[in-house]
Amino acid sequence: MFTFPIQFNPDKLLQEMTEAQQKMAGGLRNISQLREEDIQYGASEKDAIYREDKLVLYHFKPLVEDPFPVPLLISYALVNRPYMADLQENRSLVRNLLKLGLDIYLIDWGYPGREDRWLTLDDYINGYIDTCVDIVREQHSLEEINLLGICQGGAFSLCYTALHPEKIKNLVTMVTPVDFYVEEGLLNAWTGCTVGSESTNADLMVEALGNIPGDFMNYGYLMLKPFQLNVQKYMALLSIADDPQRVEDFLRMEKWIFDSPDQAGEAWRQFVKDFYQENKLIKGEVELGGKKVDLGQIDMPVLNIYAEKDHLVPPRSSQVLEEFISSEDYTVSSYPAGHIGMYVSGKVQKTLPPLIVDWLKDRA
Amino acid sequence: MDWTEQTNKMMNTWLETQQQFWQGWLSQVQQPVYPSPEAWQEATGAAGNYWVEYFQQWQQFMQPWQQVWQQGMQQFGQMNSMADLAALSRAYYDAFQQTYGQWLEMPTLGYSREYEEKLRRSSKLWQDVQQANLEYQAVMADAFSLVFQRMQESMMERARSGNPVQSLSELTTAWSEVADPAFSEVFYSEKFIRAQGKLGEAMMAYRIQQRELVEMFSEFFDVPTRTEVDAAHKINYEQNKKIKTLQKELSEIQSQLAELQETVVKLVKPAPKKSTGRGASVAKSTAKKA
Repeated sequence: MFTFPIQFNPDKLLQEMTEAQQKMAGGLRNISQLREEDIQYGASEKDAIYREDKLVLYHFKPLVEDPFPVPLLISYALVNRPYMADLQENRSLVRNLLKLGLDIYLIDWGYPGREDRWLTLDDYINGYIDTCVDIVREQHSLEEINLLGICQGGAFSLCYTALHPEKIKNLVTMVTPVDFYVEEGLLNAWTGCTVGSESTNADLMVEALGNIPGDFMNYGYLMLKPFQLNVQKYMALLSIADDPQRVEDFLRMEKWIFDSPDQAGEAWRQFVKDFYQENKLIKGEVELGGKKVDLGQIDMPVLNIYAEKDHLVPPRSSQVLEEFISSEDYTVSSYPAGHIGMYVSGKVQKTLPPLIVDWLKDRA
Repeated sequence: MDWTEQTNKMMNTWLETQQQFWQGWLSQVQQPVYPSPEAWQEATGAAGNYWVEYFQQWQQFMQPWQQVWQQGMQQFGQMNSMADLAALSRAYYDAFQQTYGQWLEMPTLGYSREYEEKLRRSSKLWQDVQQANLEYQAVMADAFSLVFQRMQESMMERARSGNPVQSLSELTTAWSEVADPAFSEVFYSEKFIRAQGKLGEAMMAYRIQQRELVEMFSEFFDVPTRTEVDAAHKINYEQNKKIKTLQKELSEIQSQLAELQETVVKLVKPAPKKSTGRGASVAKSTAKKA
């Protein structure tokens, strides 16, 4: 039997159109009442305890009377804003960890200006992260603290821990790229894992642009899934348009997606060339402050968490970590979510924070 | 004979006629006015040959354009993809490079040569951007074409299995199922990655060149340039880094010094004069040990 592939059912179509119009009318009412300042983020109270250049080190107010004695420092990626970890009350990794008794610090890298163009990875890792770790150690009179690295911040955490293992008690990496030659990742392919600098000429880009604009990065991310991120997402907005709370949630996420800081030129150049194009992290060839980063120096307990549907950091890119570190206490855990779903999915947030907290408490 | 061949033939005939005309004109001019100084005859005779040479050069110059014109006319009716358009554009680009493009690369003379060189280089880099953009668009068009092909296949499958699309939401879902996987297929290809990389390179090179031009004017009007500000930022950054390193070292030295002072204080602390019990004797023995 061969039927015509599109046979709109007039009743169904009419019903769809009516519903869509109702939603649009409701949506217009909602959006016209909203203002930019209504799109607030950050669910947990925090104090800025240290500032250096554009960096701010935050300490979240503990939510339990007697928090866990070893604090956790969170190092987020440079490519987006760290408030994703504490987006809103019902979508906050930080808040869930606080509720379970952790004492949390977070590094906010800020928005690099043109004057920050010369900052290198050495400045970020041996400079900023090291200073923040020392401040937290001093605040708690501890030799070692716990470190949680997210995405690119995870790669930074690996480098930092390999260079300063004496300061880190336990390391947690989340959606962290380790092997950049994994070809399942379109981002890896576009940045140079297949044809090297012919895909992205980092030297020329930094020479031409100084800092790499956040908008350039965003355009790249949107093109990784053009239909889903440029069409489908906004069609889905229509289906929730008459629900003010969901529209606000949508706009909050939209703000986070496009609120992308520029990338300090020299650091970006080094990250693209050494990590993406030459895969030096797993070869032990990344050099920071005159020292080689040897992942084999990571001998403390490591918890590696990845997202099974991650299109930015393919699972295999994270999974290989075990092969390159010397830790005998290595735990790996995965969730059926995408890169962003790890922070905002209700299902993930029910099980991920308890996993991290229990794992840390077992290794107190 | 089609009309493109006719056009070529007309052009060749025109050039030949021009040669004959100018040669005839020269021989006319030479004859009555300068009857016979031998040297002059030679000189003007040679000048006549220059015209011939000039037209030969002109013919050579026009040849790539004739070819590409012919190619364009032949292909125009048969073009059915962006790739064809890109190929034709490449042919025009090559013709340009063989003709005017060479002029843009020739060294210039005189007072404004430096400025002119920058302008001409800018023009060339702009053409590179256009060409790279066209090639990128051609691969993007391939991607869109694959998406439509996959959608057709999906619809055929639905038709075969008697499962037609009945609503707009089903249609959107059908698109979403085929679109991104098809885009990915093209986006992962080396052809796309290279085209994208080439476009990026062309744009960056053009931007750098634009900056050079802008900086020429900035310098003229005493306005600080991007390069100067970058250099100042670099010096600032390097000095900042040195200060931070020194601060860290100083802090380490200070803490070592504090530890040392503590040890020294312990060492030189005088023993109590009178022993008044057990505690004091312990202190004494500790001091001895130390």
